[in-house]
Amino acid sequence: MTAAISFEGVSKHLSGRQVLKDVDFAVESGDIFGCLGPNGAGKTTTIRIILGLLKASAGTAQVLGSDPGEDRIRNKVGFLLEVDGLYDNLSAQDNLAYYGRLYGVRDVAGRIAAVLQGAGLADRALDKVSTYSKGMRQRLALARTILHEPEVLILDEPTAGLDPGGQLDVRRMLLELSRTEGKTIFLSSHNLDEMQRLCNRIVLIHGGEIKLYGDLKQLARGSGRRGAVIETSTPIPAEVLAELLQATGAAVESQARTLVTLSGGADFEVPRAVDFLVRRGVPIEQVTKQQDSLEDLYLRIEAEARAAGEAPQAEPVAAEEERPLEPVAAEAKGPHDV
Amino acid sequence: MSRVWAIVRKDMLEIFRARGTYFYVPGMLLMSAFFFFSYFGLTRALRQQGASPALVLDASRAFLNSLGYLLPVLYSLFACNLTSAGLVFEKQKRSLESLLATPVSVRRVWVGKSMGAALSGVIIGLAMSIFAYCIIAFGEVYPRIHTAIAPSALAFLSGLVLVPVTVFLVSMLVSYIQLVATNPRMGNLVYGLTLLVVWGVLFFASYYLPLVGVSIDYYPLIFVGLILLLGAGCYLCSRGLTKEKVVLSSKG
Repeated sequence: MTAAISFEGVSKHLSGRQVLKDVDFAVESGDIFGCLGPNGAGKTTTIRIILGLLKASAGTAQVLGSDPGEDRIRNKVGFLLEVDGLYDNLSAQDNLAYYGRLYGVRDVAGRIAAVLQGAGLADRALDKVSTYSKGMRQRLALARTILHEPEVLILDEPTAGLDPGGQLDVRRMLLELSRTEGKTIFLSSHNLDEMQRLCNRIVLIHGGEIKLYGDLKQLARGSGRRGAVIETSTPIPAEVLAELLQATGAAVESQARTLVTLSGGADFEVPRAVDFLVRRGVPIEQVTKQQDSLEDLYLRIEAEARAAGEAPQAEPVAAEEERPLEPVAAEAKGPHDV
Repeated sequence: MSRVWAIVRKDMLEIFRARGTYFYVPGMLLMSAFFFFSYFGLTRALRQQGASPALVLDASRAFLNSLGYLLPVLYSLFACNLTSAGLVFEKQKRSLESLLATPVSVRRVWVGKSMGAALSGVIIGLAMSIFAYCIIAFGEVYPRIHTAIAPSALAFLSGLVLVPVTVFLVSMLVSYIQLVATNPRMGNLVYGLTLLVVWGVLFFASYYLPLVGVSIDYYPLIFVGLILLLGAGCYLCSRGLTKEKVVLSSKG
């Protein structure tokens, strides 16, 4: 099957500097694919190549099996860039009608009504966009993104600047698009918690190079750090705990009266530890599996890159705003969990 | 072509909804008041000297013909200012990048943006020309000489075809500069220089050519010359225009 988006050995030089270095990744159809990296890592350049705004200096970039610069391909791609690109002086309806005509949408009026309804903006369709809140603008921009029913969505920071309720709305919209309409979504964000909730696969770019790429669950599983928090009705006897540690190769990270936190390497298996305790007659109340969160992976890779002297540089034309990382939940969550 | 028209429609909608447009037009109207002062001053002087109605009619016709060339140029060059300001604004808001990511080629964007501004300017220019015609025809000629007056066919052709085409091509050049230049002042500079050149040529033609016995109807030739020159410039510009150039010039 052809990948929805594929980069093979893509490099890009801008102003005499290499912004992307031999980048390889593929986004399969139906993926919610996350693109991570610090400011100046090369994310915006990657998105611009996918949208056909920039051409790769070397290598091959393809969208739906063709050159992303082709009009035919751009007709199948919807995008939401870091800046929404809406026209303040025009109403929501006029903004959508404009893009509808650019994309050659057949029943423009019908589609506008449908996407405005979906975005909860039907009653504000005739109001100027300048009167909209940030959340409403973002929902309108997302409505514009799907107006022409694209197969692939490219979203750059879709929840930036939104309040928690607005972020939740956008995440729900994205999951709905992925689950019910099977859209392929390429998502760039600094919000690691959001990426972990939404994405099934990720690529982490740092200094123009890929540092991490693949299935998010597998990456977290294979990252080396695994553990479990085990809550029992009665304290685990010391000799049983010692045998458990020996059998599983785990170590005690912390221990309260009836609460033990175990950490192990990549070989540590939680079911085996639970099975061991049950066999020894330890009454288990609750077990919480622990593994590296996306934030842990990200911070570790960034620290490694810094130690190797690969400080990220500003992309010559990215004009990305400095934005601090938003706090993420400590507990690892599965993908596609709003 | 429908995508070009989509851009034209949107830009014209924005222009005519912007408050600035309605401040700009009266400003231009005040600037062109000198034209009417000159006309009424001349006809009054002719009447005081006992000139025949036929002579006043000839003078009025000469004014009306020059109207076909001068007023549309004056008002339509407003379009260059619109193009220049509009593109700078789109670059700053980064909506231009969104437009380029749609299935529209960069040349179509270029043509659409230029045409939207040029058409707005031409509409305003033509409206003002009709207004000026009404003042000459119904404020002076008909009440005093009791006859109808119309511009010459060449003046008519110039006002409706040659001037709009010239303005469109000037808009194209200005928008090209704004699309590829990182410094937004470049477009304004080109706009200012173009204005100077067009007015310089027209003033030269109106003052020098009559001295050497050349009729004012040579104006269309001047416009044709300008169109050829501007057309060649646009063709050369179009060869190097790419989305990458536009996107890379859009920083900040």
